[in-house]
Amino acid sequence: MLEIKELSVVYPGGVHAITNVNLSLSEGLVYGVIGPSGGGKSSLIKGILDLVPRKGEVTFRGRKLSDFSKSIAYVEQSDSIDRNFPITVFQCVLMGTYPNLKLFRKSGIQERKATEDAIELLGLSEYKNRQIGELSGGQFQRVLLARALAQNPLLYFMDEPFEGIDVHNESVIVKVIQELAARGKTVFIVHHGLDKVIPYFDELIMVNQKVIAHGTVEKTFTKENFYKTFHNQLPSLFKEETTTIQQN
Amino acid sequence: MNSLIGFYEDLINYSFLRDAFFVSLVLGVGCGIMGCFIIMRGLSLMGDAISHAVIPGVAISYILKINYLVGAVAFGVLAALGMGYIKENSKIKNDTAIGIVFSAFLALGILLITKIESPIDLNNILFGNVLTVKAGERLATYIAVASILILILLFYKEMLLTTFDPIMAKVSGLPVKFINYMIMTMLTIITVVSLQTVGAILVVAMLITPAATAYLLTNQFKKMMWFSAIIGAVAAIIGLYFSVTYNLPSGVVIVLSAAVIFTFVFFLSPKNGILINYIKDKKQ
Repeated sequence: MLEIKELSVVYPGGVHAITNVNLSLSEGLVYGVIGPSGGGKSSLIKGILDLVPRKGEVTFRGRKLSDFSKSIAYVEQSDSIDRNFPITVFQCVLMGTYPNLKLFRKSGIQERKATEDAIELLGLSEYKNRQIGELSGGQFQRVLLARALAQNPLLYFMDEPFEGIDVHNESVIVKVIQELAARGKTVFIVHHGLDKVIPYFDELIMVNQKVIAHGTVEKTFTKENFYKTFHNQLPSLFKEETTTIQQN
Repeated sequence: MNSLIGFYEDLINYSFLRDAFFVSLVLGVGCGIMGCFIIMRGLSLMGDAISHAVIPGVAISYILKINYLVGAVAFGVLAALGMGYIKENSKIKNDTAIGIVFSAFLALGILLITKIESPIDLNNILFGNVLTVKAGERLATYIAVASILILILLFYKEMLLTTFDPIMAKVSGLPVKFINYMIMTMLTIITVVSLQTVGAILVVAMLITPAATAYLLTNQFKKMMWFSAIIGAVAAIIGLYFSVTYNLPSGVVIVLSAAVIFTFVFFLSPKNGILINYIKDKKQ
């Protein structure tokens, strides 16, 4: 169980990204974090991970989340990484094994095997000796997920992993995420779009500066919650999607 | 050709030249390897700043009659802390904070050296003279470079991950702050021991030019470090040759040698060379 108590993220200058979030989240599920642009979706994830100035408490299995740092993988937005860095796909994925290696220890056969397995699972074997800059955005997103898999963590946090990638790459990633959840791993995904919410996530966390709604997709993905979450920013696209969703 | 043979004979016959040769070689390798982390972390300007900021430390060391390395390292660290403090406690951007601190330290250093009656040759500090490096300073250089290489070997995976993806490193519990401070300290130390050879003005070039050249030659970080070490060593030896043969300041010719190698690679490297890519485009 991941417990978030009174979590607030306030950036320098007094900008409140999220305020007083309380959540109790079970393990082995895929959580979708949705909300309007600037509504604090990424800040919620970063606040949980202590990457931004925060107040409040986050515990996992009754202990501070930071005690489990080696068991946390964060798949950040791919454009925040220097794609010209001189490393190959294999070397990039191998880095996922570093947190579990003790100080002064080098990666050995076991780490290389975990790396190969992760690369294969994400369908990247043919690219493994390529420099990361030679990949498409979607392929690189798969590399980042493979790196997280090589770490073998309990918790996965992903910031908009489907942003700007094609259908093929998205389907590969979704398949792996669903397999992870089936193996008892917990996955949090900041999701920008509103489509695919029903098939992708077990539970939704709807955020706009605070948590508007949280629960199973069936119960949470309602028109009322949409209006509460997106109110002023409600785009015409949303109305179409809502109609589609209701039709589904 | 005769001058090359003469240089080789001088190397055999004169111990001071052999000493200069080895110290240049070791610094070329050390700066080359360290430089790979510096350029990939975007710390080139910081390296330049620290190399200028250590000058008042050299002067004060003379006044206090202590080894100049002690004062230089102290002022290097002080400058790095000062830049960080200004950046974190104001809306001033990083490059501006670096500019303010290093120019102030440089001005203070020049003031101290020109006003105190010291035997410090400002020209040597600014532009380097590898032939004047004393035995103790050579030993300090060897120890410093060896320590840096050992630290890189021991902390390679932590240094690589914090350079490539500091956010992932932080989330997964790696000691990111410790590694960052360690790299800044390593940068300060290699800068200080390079002062006598390359000079304060040009030491940053020994850190970044071989590394940038290697960056154009390979897509793998480990290979980049090897290439950079080799390029740094070759530039240092070529520079020493021209310095001794034509009585030129060592720092200036070492840096120019590195720049010539960079220019060559920039146009002709198989993967990233401007000229090679142009020819490839024309053929297609």
